[in-house]
Amino acid sequence: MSLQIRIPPVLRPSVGGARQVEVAGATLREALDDLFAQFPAVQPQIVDGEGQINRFVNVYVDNEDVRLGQGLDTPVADGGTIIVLPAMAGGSVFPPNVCRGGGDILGAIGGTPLVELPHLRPEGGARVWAKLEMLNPSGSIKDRVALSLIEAAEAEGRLTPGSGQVVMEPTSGNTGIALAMICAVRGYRFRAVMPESATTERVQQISMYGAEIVFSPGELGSNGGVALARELAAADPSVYMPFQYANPENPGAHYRTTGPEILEALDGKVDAFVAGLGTGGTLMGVGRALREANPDVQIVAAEPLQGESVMGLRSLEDGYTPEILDVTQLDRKLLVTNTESVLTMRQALRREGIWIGVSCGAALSVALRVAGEMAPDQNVVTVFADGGARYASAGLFEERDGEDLEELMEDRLWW
Amino acid sequence: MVDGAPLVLPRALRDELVAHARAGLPNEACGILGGRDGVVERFYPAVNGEPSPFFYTIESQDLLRILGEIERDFGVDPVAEDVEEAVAAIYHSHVESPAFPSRTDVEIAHWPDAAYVIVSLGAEPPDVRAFMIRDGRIERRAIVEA
Repeated sequence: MSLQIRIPPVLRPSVGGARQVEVAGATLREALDDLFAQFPAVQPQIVDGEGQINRFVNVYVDNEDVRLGQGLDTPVADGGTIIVLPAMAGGSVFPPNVCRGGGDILGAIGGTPLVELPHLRPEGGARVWAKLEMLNPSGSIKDRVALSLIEAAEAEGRLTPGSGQVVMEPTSGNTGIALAMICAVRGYRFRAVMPESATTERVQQISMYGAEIVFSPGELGSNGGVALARELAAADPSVYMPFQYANPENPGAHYRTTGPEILEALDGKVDAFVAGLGTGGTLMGVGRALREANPDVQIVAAEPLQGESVMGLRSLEDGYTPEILDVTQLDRKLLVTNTESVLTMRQALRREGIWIGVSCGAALSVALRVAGEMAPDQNVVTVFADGGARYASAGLFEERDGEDLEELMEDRLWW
Repeated sequence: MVDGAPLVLPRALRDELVAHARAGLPNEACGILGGRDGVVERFYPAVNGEPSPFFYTIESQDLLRILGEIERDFGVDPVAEDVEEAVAAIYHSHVESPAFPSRTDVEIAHWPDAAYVIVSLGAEPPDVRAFMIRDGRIERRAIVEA
């Protein structure tokens, strides 16, 4: 008994370059098993973990797609030919109201709109665009990261959905809210370690999803939260700590989703990308995706002045540098003061009708500066990581007579 | 980001693609462009096996039929030989979004040696662009008429 399997170009590297492989068997299943025994590398390219033919692979016996007949039980005859052909398939971006694959709220993560900010565009400068990440289900860009962190741990077998295992993370808020939501849906217990100076809204929103909160000393900021979480995780090995500051899934989420979505929306034409420096995940992941499409793109970090603590942003001069942050991948770091950030945040509200917080105000302020240096046919993109509602209690949205923003912000750590 | 030799797509064939994309509305349309050395000679319209405004897959029996026609027309079996010897490009339409590969397009691009031609009906006149998609990376490929 012998028959041939035709190997398409994309699979040839897995079978030593062969265009066809001789196999033995009485059914398609046996013939494929023989192929996989000879060339194990080709197996995952043709079938999934359960042995079923991958959705985007067509397999034909005697020129009939086996899916239309007996599938893997299709009999094969001596001297016959099996053809394997990858599907020619694809699609445009899914609209926000269609969740990929159905299922639950997690399907609504990502696919956020990219809007232009024509009313704030500097005269004669580049067009300015913002990705509205506050429209993710838990209200921030961190939904993308948290989903990646949890799904990677599930794929590695460290977490099992529905198990009630404890997931713990030091978080300035948004990652905590996102993890709290995802853990609620996937059946884990979530414990957030956060500075006691976190805003009431943030604490409430995390607890609302059923998560526990462990407070770290407010005056130590996010670095204090990181230290405490590390201590607690080291003391209890049953706790899973994804640790977004060092986990490649953090930039990975942006490389796979945020970056390509921006490229698709602007037809691949992005000249500068500006984001605040938190964990560095957005800048690293989006930056890498944009640079692959355009090596000349400028990746710009908006950084608070040393000693000033804009919510969620860090100054590289102030201590801990996240492991995932490779500063050589940044083209520029532009400093921004608290005052500038707050004033720009108010402009976004009054002129573009977009309610953002201070850290997005900082990123937008830098994006407008960069746009002012560029040409009218260029595009500057920033991300609005979350919305202003999360900072409502900070009371910075309305101007007060004789206010001194620096003084107002000085005595508090802004989260 | 324009790399490599341009894809030659004669005006008449480009017009055929656009007409086919329009006829497929509200769903995405798809097909194969037969040709050698990056020169498109013939358009083979295909059946979208999972018709949707956001998705296409060349129906599996139709795919085999078209590859058979290409073998007859070009004297090269694109399945047995290197596909680029007779398949210049795989085409599909985007009904609204730009002519740039989407995440879905990149994730399931399994034909590294064929160009991917996208017709966007979101622009007027419709935008037609070509890309090479290899290992998750997108390279723009210029289109010339002759």
